[in-house]
Formats: sequence, C-alpha cells, structure tokens
Amino acid sequence: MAVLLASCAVIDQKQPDEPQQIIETSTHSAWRLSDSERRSVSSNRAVAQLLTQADNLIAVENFAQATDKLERLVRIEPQFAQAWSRLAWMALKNGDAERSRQLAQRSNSYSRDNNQLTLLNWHFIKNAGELLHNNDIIQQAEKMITNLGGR
Amino acid sequence: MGTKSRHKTRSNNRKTVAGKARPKQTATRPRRPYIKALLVFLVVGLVYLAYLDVKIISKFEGRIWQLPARVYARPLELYEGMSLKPEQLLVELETLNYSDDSSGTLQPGQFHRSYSRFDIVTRGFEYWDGEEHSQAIRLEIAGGKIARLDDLITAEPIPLVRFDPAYLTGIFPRHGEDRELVRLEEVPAELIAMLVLIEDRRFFQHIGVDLKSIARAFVANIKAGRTVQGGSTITQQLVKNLFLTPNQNLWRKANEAVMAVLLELHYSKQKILETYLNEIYLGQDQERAIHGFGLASLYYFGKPLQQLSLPETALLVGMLKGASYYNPVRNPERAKQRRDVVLATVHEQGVLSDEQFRNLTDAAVETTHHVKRERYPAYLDLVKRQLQSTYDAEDLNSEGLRIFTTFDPYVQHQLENAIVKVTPQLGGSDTLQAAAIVVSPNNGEVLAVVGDRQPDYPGFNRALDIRRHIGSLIKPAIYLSALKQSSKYTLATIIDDSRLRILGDDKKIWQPENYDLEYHGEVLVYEALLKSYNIPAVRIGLDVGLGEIEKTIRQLGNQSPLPPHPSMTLGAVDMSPFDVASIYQTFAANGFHSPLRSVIAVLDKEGQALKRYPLDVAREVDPDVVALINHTMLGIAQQGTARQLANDLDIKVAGKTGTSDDLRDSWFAGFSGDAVAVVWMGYDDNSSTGLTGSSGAMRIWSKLMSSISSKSFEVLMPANVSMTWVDQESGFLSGKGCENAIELPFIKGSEPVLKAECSEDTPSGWFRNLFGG
Repeated sequence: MAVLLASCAVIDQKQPDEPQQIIETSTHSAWRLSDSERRSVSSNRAVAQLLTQADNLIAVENFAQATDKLERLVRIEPQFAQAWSRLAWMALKNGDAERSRQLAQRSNSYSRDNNQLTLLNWHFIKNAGELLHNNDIIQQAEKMITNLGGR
Repeated sequence: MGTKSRHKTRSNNRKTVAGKARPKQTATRPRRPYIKALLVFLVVGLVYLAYLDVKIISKFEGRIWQLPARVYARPLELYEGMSLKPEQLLVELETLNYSDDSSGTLQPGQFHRSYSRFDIVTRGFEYWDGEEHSQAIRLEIAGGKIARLDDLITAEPIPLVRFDPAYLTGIFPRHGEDRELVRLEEVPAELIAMLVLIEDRRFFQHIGVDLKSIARAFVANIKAGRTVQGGSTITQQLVKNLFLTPNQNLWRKANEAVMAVLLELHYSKQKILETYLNEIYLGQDQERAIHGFGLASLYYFGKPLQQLSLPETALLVGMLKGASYYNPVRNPERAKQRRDVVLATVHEQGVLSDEQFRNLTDAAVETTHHVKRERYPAYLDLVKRQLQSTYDAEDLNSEGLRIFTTFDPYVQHQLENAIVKVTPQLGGSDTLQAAAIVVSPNNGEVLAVVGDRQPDYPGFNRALDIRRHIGSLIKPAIYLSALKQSSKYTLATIIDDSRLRILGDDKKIWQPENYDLEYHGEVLVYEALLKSYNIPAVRIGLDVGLGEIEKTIRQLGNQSPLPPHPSMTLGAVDMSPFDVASIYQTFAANGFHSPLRSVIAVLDKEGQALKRYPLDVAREVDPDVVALINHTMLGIAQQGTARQLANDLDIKVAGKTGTSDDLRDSWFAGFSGDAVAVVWMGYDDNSSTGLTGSSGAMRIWSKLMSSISSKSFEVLMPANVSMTWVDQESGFLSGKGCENAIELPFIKGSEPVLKAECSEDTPSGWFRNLFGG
C-alpha cells in the first residue's frame, strides 16, 4: 500500500483551464480530467457537482459519504472512468482488495483515452494483488504498468 | 361417617347459641372481620396500585411503541440534460403525493405545470449522506430531456435536485400500527391550544382526572338520556389507549382514573401530551392504522405538522371524536361539519374574527390524493427477502428502520401497464400468466418487478419463484463459452446445421430440431445465434462441454446448479426471470456483473445509517468475448429473431428470444443503454401458450422499452477487439464493398486468414469499395 501511495499520491498542480474545485481536491495526479472528461463534466453540471463533493469528502477521508456521491454520479454517467477509479482507491484504502481490483478494472474499461488514469488503475490492481497475495494479478499488473510506460 | 358429621354440626350450633348468652363477647366480635376485611382490602389495593404503577413506569421507561420499518423508493434526481418526459415526471410527483396547485405560492410538496414547464417546491429530507433541503425549482422539458433546471426564486441554474423519496409501504407489526414520531417542540402551538380547548380544557390544571368535567358530563348525559359527553381527560384517554381495553364498564373506568393519577404523579404534563400526540388513533389506510398527529398530517395532507393550515389542524383535532366517522377521505362532508364545529369553538374564544371564521369554514376539505398503498407486492417481496439476510422479522416491524430501495416508480408503472395491456391481446386464456423484472445495467439495481398478470395481486411471485425452461435464452452463454477459445471459435467459424442424433446416458436417442424444422447447412456462428438455430447450438455446446457452459453461466451471475444434460444446450434448465436478469445484466454491463440489489441503505429511526449496500462489481468473463456476443445480440434485434424491435423502437437494443418445448414458455431478455428487462409468459400448469418468445414476451418487452428507455445500447469495444469484413457464406476475409460481406468483431489475432474471392485486397473488392458498390 505504501508503495502505491508513494507512487501515485502526487498532489495536483493547479491548471487554469480545469474546474478549480476538482484540481484542489484531487489526490492523484491521474485524477486530473482528460480533455474528453473535462468536456463531459462541463456539459453536465450534476456530474461536476458530485465529483467535486466526492473529492472534498475524499480529502477529509470521509470515504463512506464520498462513495455515496460517486455511486450517485455513476447512476447519471455510468461510463465516467474517473468515478470508478476513485471508488477503487477508496475500496483499497478500506482494505477491500478484491472489490478495489474489480472497480479499477471497471474504470479501465472506460478510460481508453486517459493513459494516466489507466496506469493509476493498474497500480491499484497491483496493490490489490499484493493484499490478496495473488502473484498472477501482481505480474499481470506489472506487465501492464510497464507497457503503459509506468514504473 | 355421616353420623359423625351430623354430631359435629349439632355441637357447633350449640356453641353459637351459647355465645349469644354472653353479651360481652358479642359486642366485640363483629368488628374484627370488618377490620380484617378492610386491612385485606387495603393491602390488596396497595399491591394492585403498585402493580399499576410498575405497569405504567415500565411502559414509559421502555419502548412505548413498536415502529414499523418504512420502505422508500429511490430518490428522484433531476439535472439538466436528463431524459425525462412530462408524463414521467407526473407519475413521479403523484407517487410522491405532490399536489398540483395553481392557486398561489407553492408550498413544499406542491407543483404547478404549464405545458412543458414545471414549478415545484420539493420537500426536505434527511438522507444517510446528509440533509436535502427543500428547494423551489423551475424546469423546462424539451425533446424528452430537461432543457433547463433553475432556482424558482433566483432563476440561477441548479446542477442537481434530489427529491424526498416516495414512501412505498411499511413492514408492520401484527396490529398494523404506524406512526411518525414527533417531539413536543415540533408541534405547532395552535395545534396544542386547539387540542386542549376541544378535548380537555383543564388539562394543565387537573391531576389526571377532572371531577368538574366528569360531573358536567354526568349531568349532560342524564339530561340527554344517553351518552352525549365524555368526561375523560387527555391523560385518561392516553391511559385507555396504552393500557386498557375499549370496554365501557365501571372497573375499567376506575382503573383508568387511578392510572391517570399515577401517570401524572410520575410524568410531566409535557411528556404526557407528547405521548398522547403520538399515540392517538387517527384513521385507517387499509391494513395500516394511522396513529399520531405526525403521521396523520403526512397521510391526510402530505406535509409535516408545522405546515398545516388552521382548518387542517382543526380537522385533525376534530377527528379525535371518531377517526373513522369523520375520516376526510371517505366522508369529506361529515369531516367538514366536524372541522367547522372545532373552528366555531376557536371562534368563540375570540381568537378568530367573524370574517376569518367565515372564510375558514367556507373552504372545502381537501386531502392529498392517495396512491393505493398495497401495491408492488412482487417488488416488496424482493426487498423483504434481501433484508432477511441481515434483519430478523422482529427488527423489521418494531425498530422504526428506514429502508431505501432502488424502486423506480415510473419504470414500475410502465411495466405494469405493458403487462396489463398486452397480455389480454395475445389470445391466451385468462390464466395466461406474465412476470417480469427490470434492472439497471450498470449497477444491478432492481427498478421494477411484476409477479402476476394482475400486478397488485400479492400471491405467487413468479418473477422470483417460477423455475421454467429458458429455451434459447441460454444460447448467448453457450456461444460465449465457445468464443472464449478464440483460436478455435470466432463469429465467422462455420458450423454444420444438419441432422444430429445423440445417444444419451439412458441409451435413448435425442434428435434436436430447429424451430422451422429445416436444416440450413453450413452457417456462420454469427448467423446461428442471430437466427437462433438449435442444431449448431447443440453441436457447439457439446464440443465445449456442458461443464464449461455451466461455469460460464455461473460467471455471468447465476448461482443455482444446472443439470449437465445435453438438452441444457437448448435451454432445458429451470430459471426464474430474476435469475435470467442476473445473467443478462452482465452482458449489458459489458462483462461486469453486479449482484441484483433492491436495497441501498438502512437507517435507524434516528436517521443514522445502520447498513449501506454498496455497489459491487465482478468481472469474471472476458469483456473481449462479451463484446462479440453483444454485437450479435444487437444483430438479433435488427435482423434476427427479434427484428420486429427495430421497427417498434427508436433506439438500438440487444436481446434474445426464448421459447421452451411445445411453446410452454415465452421469454424475452434484452437491454438498452439504460435498462435490462426480462419478461416471461406461460401457464402455471405448464400447458402450451401457443406463443414463441417473439410473439409473446417480446411484445410486452417492446411496449415497456418504448416507454422507459431513451438510450441505445452500444457495444463497448475493448482495445483488443477489431471489426473485420468477412464473407457471410464462407467466413473468409472479405471487403466492405463485396457481395455478402458482413462486418464482425474479432479478438485481435483471431481474424480469418483465408480470403474470399472478393476482399479488400482484390481488385473487385477495392473497386467496389471505392465506388460504394
């Protein structure tokens, strides 16, 4: 877990063209929105609001309520990979490794245009594999991380 | 023996006579029995008083009431861009008991519609993730979507609005009592003043019983020659309701008086009043007894006590005289007369001017439109079953739990409508049955369930409990099992559709046949599934192995064991619509299975979250292979056995027809981008329906989806899947412009190698491609 958090927990730098509240509360750099995600969020204020609220709750480690916000979000926008990634991370933080792995896979099924997010999700999967003591999962994740140019 | 007895009697008689001769003794003896009796009476009386005292204290210090669990629908959430039709919003508002009011300023729980514009004031609600405040909103619907969503006052855009959830039903104790507890400080002063004025004017002065009041009632009743006035105080009424039977006899009245005094000795007037306000019976809603002013206010007027108008308050107070007799839903005129009597009494106190009094009594009695409560039995049955794994029956009907479900009122409404309208049109007898379930593809949330052709009938829940052959609904799972072996099977693999004879373990020969009783020669896997040919399905199923098929079905979400018999490949396995929906949800979510759930969260009576049921996903099947099957199921609804759907619906859907032997069962399972639905039709005695999957269940499915779904299903093509043109007859590589060419998805590396006469590389192919030939 420590390895994962060290590798991914890069606090975001502000980017002027992104919604301010999302940048400020994002924990991982890969949770920055890609161009298409930004378009999706800007065209749907409900998604933007719920994502912001979830990130604010994640920032204060209120994972139960953040999960509720994100579940509401994916009811509205089921293919919003960023939400699934956050759910995966919180499941990992809660020690629910198998659930985290599945949620990260779900995020990856929608994150094709966001390499950084896909990479982050594979880190989650690798970490879940470590918690599960499952070498197959770890090796598969390491292979994907290498293919995606990560470490 | 008889002689001895007689002697003894005589001897006793003599003693008595002798006693009379001694006056000193006779003067003192009669007093002792009286004293003894008095002492015994006092002791017994004290013991009885102590008993009553303990009874009162134990009730008041413990849990006074059993509170039923309250079951809610999922909260309606609105946002700009959301698909929504005006009639859909009206159904939602009706289920929420919101009233259409164009008379003036809207109050929480009211709306006003002007064509496609709705002004609504939502009710606030305490959710498990925080409080949702009441909001005044204006929304415009255009083109089946919310075009604008603004604050009604400031006209600022609102990103998202969450309504209070519709109350569906309660899980009641045997006595059926329901109440919404209120604290005394939440009760408007007008209500308390009116209550005391009408029921017990000296409430704050007396000690539980009011002798003046009793005397006054006694005189009035003697004069009238019948009971016209009661002398019971509020405390006595409370005692009667909490501890005693309604019998009118002297012993009961004496107990009532004694207990009322004891109650006043132990507890404050405020505590007694608060308990009374929550205890008192105020009407009946079928099996559910409405107790307390808090619930009565919500039930009759659709709003909390604090928002009641003066006439509404007067009506509730007036109902105390006879909640059934003055029920404003059943007897509005009688209720109005009683209300006016109460208002007249208030007027006499000088609180109201003559004009105010006239205005108030001129108004008719209006109550909230009541949605029939004993509805959705099949859905609520599912909720109870899913809760039973965590809560026992006692907790559910006594702890005041609040249960938040995934129930979607509009989807349920449309599903019921489709079944009720279409089933009689299908030509079967009145006993032709139907059952169906609708779930959300992305998270497995169960939106609607119907278990009978009469959806309100609370009997056998076919959606959960029938076990019937699923016919060709199994075929996508069979082909999925085969396509996992991408080096052996692709959608372009040729399969032999010719006579097939199989020797079973019982030494009997099984000869499967196609529905059209014909053989089609060599066909592509794609076509075999598209047209639901039986023989290719059996060949492939036996080749990949029955165990492998069972494993695939399990990975798709089915938990029940399946018999490993060759006829399994033609759907001779028993499942319920719920089981089938569990499998097809996985297809609809592109391979991610979510266990079907009807409950999101359970809160205790204080609103604290006891349990959340978080979204769960599991990917057991390869999404690459699922994409191939989903592409084919889209084709089924365009050119295959369900092609009628392409005409009926404006959106693209994927699905599969299912028909069991002798047309006993008619099934359709399919999905759009926002709903998975499974419909079954059949007879309970398993006789033939005369219907195929497409001529029966699919017609209900089609009508349902045309009203609830606005989003096409799109295959989420994984990076490892690519589209390739192949020849429909040979399965060889072809080209876009070639005759008989069809574009199919392939897992990368599994594309055909051999080329058809016409392909991208041949001159005829690129020439046709160039000119669109």
